[in-house]
Amino acid sequence: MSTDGVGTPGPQPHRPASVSRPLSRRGVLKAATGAAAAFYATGVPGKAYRRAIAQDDPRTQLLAESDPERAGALALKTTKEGAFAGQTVRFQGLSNAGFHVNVFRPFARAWEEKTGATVEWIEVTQAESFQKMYQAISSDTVAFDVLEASGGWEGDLLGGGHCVAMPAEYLEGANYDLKDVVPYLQSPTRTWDGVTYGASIDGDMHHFNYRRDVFADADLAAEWTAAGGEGQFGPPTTWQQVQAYSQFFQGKEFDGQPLYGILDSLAPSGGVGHYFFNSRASAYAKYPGDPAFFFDPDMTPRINSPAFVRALEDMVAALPAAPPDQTNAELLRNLDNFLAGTGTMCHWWADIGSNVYTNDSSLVQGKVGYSVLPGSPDVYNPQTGQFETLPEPNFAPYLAFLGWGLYVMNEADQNGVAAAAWDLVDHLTGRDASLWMNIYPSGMNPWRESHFNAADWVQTGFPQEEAQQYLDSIRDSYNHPNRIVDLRIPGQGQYFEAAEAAWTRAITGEVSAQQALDDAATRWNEITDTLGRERQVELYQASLGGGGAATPTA
Amino acid sequence: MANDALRPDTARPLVGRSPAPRVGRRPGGGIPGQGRQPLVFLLPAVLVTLAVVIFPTLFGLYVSFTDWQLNDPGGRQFNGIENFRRIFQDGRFWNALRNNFVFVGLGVPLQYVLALGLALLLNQDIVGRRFFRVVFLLPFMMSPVAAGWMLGRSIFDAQRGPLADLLTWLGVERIVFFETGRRAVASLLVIDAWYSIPFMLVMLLAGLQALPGEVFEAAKIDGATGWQLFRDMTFPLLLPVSLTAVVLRAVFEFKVIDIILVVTGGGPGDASETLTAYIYKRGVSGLDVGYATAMSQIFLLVVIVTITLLLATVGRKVRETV
Repeated sequence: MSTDGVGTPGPQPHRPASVSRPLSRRGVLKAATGAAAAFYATGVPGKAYRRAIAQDDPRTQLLAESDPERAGALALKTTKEGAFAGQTVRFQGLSNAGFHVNVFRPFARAWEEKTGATVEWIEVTQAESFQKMYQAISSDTVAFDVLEASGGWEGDLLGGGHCVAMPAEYLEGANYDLKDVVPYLQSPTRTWDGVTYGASIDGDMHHFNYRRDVFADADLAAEWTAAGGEGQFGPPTTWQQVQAYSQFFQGKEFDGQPLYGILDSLAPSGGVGHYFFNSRASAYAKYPGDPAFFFDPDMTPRINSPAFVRALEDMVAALPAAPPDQTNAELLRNLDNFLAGTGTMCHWWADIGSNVYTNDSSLVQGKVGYSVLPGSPDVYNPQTGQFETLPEPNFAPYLAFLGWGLYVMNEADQNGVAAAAWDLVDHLTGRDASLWMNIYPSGMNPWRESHFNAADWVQTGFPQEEAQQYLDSIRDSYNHPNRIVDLRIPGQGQYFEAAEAAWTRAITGEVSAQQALDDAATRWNEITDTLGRERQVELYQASLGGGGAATPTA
Repeated sequence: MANDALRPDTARPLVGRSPAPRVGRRPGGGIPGQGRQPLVFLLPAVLVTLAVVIFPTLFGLYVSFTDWQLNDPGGRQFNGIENFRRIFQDGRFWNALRNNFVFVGLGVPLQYVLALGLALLLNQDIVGRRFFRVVFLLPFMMSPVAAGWMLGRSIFDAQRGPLADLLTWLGVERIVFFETGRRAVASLLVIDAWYSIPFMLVMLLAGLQALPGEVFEAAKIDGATGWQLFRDMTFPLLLPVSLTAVVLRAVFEFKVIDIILVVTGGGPGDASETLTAYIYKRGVSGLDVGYATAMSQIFLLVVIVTITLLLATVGRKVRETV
C-alpha cells in the first residue's frame, strides 16, 4: 500500500533530540554531488566530463535523480506529442504529504508539456479514498477520469462496470510491459472477467522488519540464554518467537535507549488497522491447501475462529512491551517509530525498507533486516476445528491491499479524454518510472520483476546485502504457495472497518478477544446479508479459485 | 412581473390620504388592499426554507426508517423501527452518548469557571491587558484540527512530547495521556478546554464591560468588599450572558468531533468516541446511511431535550435572580 495517511499528513517522523543522527549514505552522496557540481561548474574538467554524462545510461541518470519533476522528464516515453492539446484529465489520488499525488504531479509535468494535455489533480485522504470512490460510483457522480484505487476495491469498481478496459496499445506496449509485472498483479488483480481494466502502480504485501543490530547483540544473546530463552538468540521466524522476544525486551535498554517489542497497529483507523491484524493471524489461520482465509466458502466468517482469537490475544499480551501509548498507535506512527529507532520488530508494507535509506528522518540505516511474515509451528484447520502441528512451521505471507492501481473511468470515455488518460497512466506506470517511484519515497512498493534487481537499489545507497534481503522477502511473499490474497469482494472496506471497530475494544480490555471477534462476525454477517449473501458467496468463491489466481465473474 | 412588483403602486392611495388599510389576515389571504402580492414576495423565502430545511429534515426522518446502505445493490428499503431497535442494543452508541454527556457535563463547567476567572482578570486595569486579551484569543482562531494536532499529537505525546519530558525532568513518572479510556477522555477535555475557553472569555468579557459602572461605585462607597461585589452584583448581573455562553458551548460540545478524530480517533478502542464521531464512522466509513441517520435523529432529540431542560431550569433561576 504505501506510506500513506489515514486522514493524517504523511510520515514525517520526529527525531528524538536525545538521539544523534548518523551520517546517512544518501547525505554523503548528496554532498559529494554538490561538491562535484561546484567543481565542474568551474569548467576545469572540460568536455571529457560532458561526454561521460552524455554516454551515461539514461536509466542510471534517472536513478541518480531525486527530483520527481526531472525524473519525470527522464522517464518520459510518450510518442503523443501535442496529441491531447486542450484536453483536461481529472486524476483522483491520495493526498499523503510527500507521496502519491504529491509525486505524480511533478512527475507528470513533462508529459503535460509534451502532449499538450492538462492534469487536474483531485486529492483525497487515504482514510476517505474508498468512501469517496464509492459515493461517486454509487450515486453516479463520478467527477474524475483516472482513479488511484486499491485492488481490494475491484469488486465494487470493476464488478460494477465503472471502468474502461486497458487498450492493447498500452497493455501490450513496451513501456507498461505486462510480462514484467509480477504474476498476481497480471491476474486476478487488475482484471475482471478476464479483461484487464487497471494498470498497477504499486505492489503490496506485509513483510517483517526487524532490528538486525539488536538481534546480533552478544550481550542480549547472553541475557537471553541466561534467562532460559528458547533456541539461539536471533531474528524471530515464528509469531511465538515474536511474543517471547517482546516480553524479553521489556524494561531493557540498547544503546542507551529503551528496547521495545513488536509495533502493532492498534488505534481505530478506518479499517486500515485490520490489515495488520490479518498479518498477525496469517500463520495461525491460513491452512496450507485451503485458499480461504477470511470466510468459509459459504461466507461464514472465520474471524471468530480460535486462530484469529489467538492472534488478538497475542496483540494484547505484547502491549506491555510496546512503546508508551501504543494503544493509540496507527500505521504511520509505527512507521515513524521504527524509522526513528523505537521498536525492534514491525510488520508493515515494504515502505519501511525503501524509507530506511531515502527518508531523511531515518535513524536506522544499516540496522534493519527483512523476512516474510513470521510463521507458526501449528495452524488452525477449519475443517477439523483443531490446531495441527506441522512438520515445518506454517508460513502464510499476506498480500495485503493488493497494491494501488490506476483505473480509467467510463466518464473519461464519455468526455473524450480516455486516450489521454491512458497515456498519462502509461507514463506513470512505465518500467523506468515505476522503478524510480519504488526507490525514492513515493508510497509505491516493488511490483515488477525488474524492480527486484538489487543493483538498481544499490545505486541509491542501499547496501547490496540489505537490498537483496529486502527484495527477496517481498518476492518470496508474492510467490509463496500459501500466500493470502487479500479480500476483493464488494464491501471489503466495510468488513475491515467493522472488524477493526470490534477488536480494538479487546485491546483496551473492554471485552474479551473471543467476544470482540464474535461481535465482528455478527457485523460481517449483517454486511453480507445487506449486500446479498448469494451474490457475495458467488463472488467470494470465484475469487478463491486456484489459490487466488482465479478471475471473479461479475 | 418583477418590474410590476417593484414599481410603487401609484394607483392606490398613499397612507395619510385615505384610511390606512387594516393589516392582518383575511379569508382570501394577503394584506387588504395588496391582494396576493406579499405572498409572492414571501415565496422565494418559503421555497428556500422548504428546500434547505424542511425537505432535508423530512428526508432524514424517512431515511432513518430505511436499511439504506450505500453499496446495497437493492437500494434503500423501508425497514420500520429496525434501526432504532438496533440502536438500543448497540453498546457503542450508548458509550458514545455517555462521552458526549461527559464533555457537556464536565467540559462546559470547567470552561466556564476558567473563562470567568480570566475575564475578571482581563477586566481589571492590569499592565499589558490588551496584549493578554489578544493572546488568550489566539487558540480560538486556530482550526480545531490544528489545535488537536498541536496539543494532542505533539505536546501530549507520550514519547516525544515536551510535557512528558517536563514531567520526567520534574521526577514525575512518565504519564501516557491517552493510554486508558478515562485518561484519554480527561486529556481530550483539557485540549478542548484550551481551544474553547476563548469563546466563553470573549462573551463574558463583553458582558462584564457592559455592566453599569456607577452601581458598582455606589456599592463600593457603601463599603462592599470585592467578594461581596462579585457574589451579589457581578455574578448575578452576568448570569444572562453566562447562560447564553453555557448553552452555546453545550451545543458545541454535543457536536464535538474534530479534536477527537485527530487526537485519538475515538480510541483506545472506542473509549473516547463521541456520538458525532461514531455517526461519522458508521455513515461515511461504513456506508451504513440508514443506521447513521437514525442515530442522528435520536441525537438531535437528545440535544433538543437537554438544551430545553437547561434553559428551563437554569433560565428560570436566572430570571429570578436578575
